[in-house]
Amino acid sequence: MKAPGVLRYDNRSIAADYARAAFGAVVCLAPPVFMDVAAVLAWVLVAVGALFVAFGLRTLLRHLTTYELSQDGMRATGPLGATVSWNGLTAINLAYFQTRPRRKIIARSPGGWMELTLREGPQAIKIDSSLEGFDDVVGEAARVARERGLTLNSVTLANLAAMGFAQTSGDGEEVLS
Amino acid sequence: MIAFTIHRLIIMVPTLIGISLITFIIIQLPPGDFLSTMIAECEAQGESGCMEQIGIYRQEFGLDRPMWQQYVIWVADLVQGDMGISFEYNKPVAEVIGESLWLTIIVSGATIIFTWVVSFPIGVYSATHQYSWGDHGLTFLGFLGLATPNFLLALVLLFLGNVWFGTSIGGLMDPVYIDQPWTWGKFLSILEHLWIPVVVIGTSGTAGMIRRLRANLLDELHRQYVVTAKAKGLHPARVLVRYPLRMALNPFIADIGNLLPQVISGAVIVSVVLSLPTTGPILLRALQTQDMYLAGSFLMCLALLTVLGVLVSDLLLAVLDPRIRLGSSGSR
Repeated sequence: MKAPGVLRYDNRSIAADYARAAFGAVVCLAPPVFMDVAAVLAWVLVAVGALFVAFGLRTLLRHLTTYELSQDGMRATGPLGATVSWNGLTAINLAYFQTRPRRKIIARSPGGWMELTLREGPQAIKIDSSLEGFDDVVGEAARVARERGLTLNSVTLANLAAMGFAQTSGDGEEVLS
Repeated sequence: MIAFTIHRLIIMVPTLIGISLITFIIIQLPPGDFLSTMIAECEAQGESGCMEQIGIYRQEFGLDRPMWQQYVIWVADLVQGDMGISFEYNKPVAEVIGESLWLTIIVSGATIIFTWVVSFPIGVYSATHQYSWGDHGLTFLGFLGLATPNFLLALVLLFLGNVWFGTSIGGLMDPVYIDQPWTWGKFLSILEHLWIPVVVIGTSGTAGMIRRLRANLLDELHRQYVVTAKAKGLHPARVLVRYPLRMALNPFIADIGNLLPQVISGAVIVSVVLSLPTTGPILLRALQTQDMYLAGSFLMCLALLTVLGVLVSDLLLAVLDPRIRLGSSGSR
């Protein structure tokens, strides 16, 4: 494992998320504010616009949060603060969100992104692949899961295999490597 | 999940702009327009009054302006929820579609329920009893359903419904209830007539869904983990429901993208054959007569529902199975 360090979301991805939130909020909220829009349509646009505003706030919280990966665990400092220790790790979940049709996808390709959730009881840290050092966190979580004999769901195993942290056995099932 | 939803919503914006552009161009492509037809009819009848009406239309809807300006006006109105005026019916588009939209939703909703209720148990049975007599019989019925043209099935069922049950030919209700306000009797009459279009429209979809569900479930049932679970003594029903069935639901969810536009397009040919007062025949007529606002708004509604359907199915798939699917080989 690399030396402990402070991890942040890279500025480009944060800026892109701010831009998405602003664009969506303007497109959805401008018509009901400046135009004479039918009532039903106005409500729909306001609801979707609120979603974009919520996304903007969530991006702000991520912007202000830093993560620290160490031999003891993972700690988030800031508005989304939480601590998960490797000794107390109870579950890991690795999901992939695909934004384009099937293609050759890796964690940081523009076709989608990975999202890792680490749980220790009620405490949870959720990060995605635009976080610097994401691969190191996943690798460490996979190592701890193997050592602690955690049961991982098939989706997580398949995604870990795609990142090289699990292997596909002869019978087509994935196992941690 | 919110980030995924936002990404998908943002993709919808250029998609819808592109679709609106293509829709507008397609509607404008045929030579002339609805007003040209009106002028020809006026000249043939020697009337002078309607020429003034045509002039008003031309000015009001900007039909004398360049095409790009017409497009901008049309889109700006659509964004405000104004779908324009139907030239043929001389009424707002929303009013023209009116009740027929509700009847279409009833027919399509019943069809979707029919498709899922019938195909799901049959698909599961066929997969879990592969190559049994039941599987062969149901597969044969499925192929029959896929191969039979809908309009032919519609004619046969119309005849049988009339001979066996005395159901009036065509329409979605007895003639006495047409254009009448909603009553219990009208509702029962609709229910009495509903089964024919539901069976006709739903048959091919049901057959296709059975085939896909059977194939998907068979793929899962032959996986090693299912064999292991059975070897460990897990009850077969529990083994089936726990994971393979969940994975086999994917085609149902992916199909939502196609279902939503069907809800308002209303199987045009079947609707014409069965004389259903649904939106399908109205769309067909609007395209034939170049009633541009009616046809354009209708096509945009279909496009919007398709895009929304794909959005919903993508979100559900992301919740159910957020697994990476590699095009070839994955690497770090």
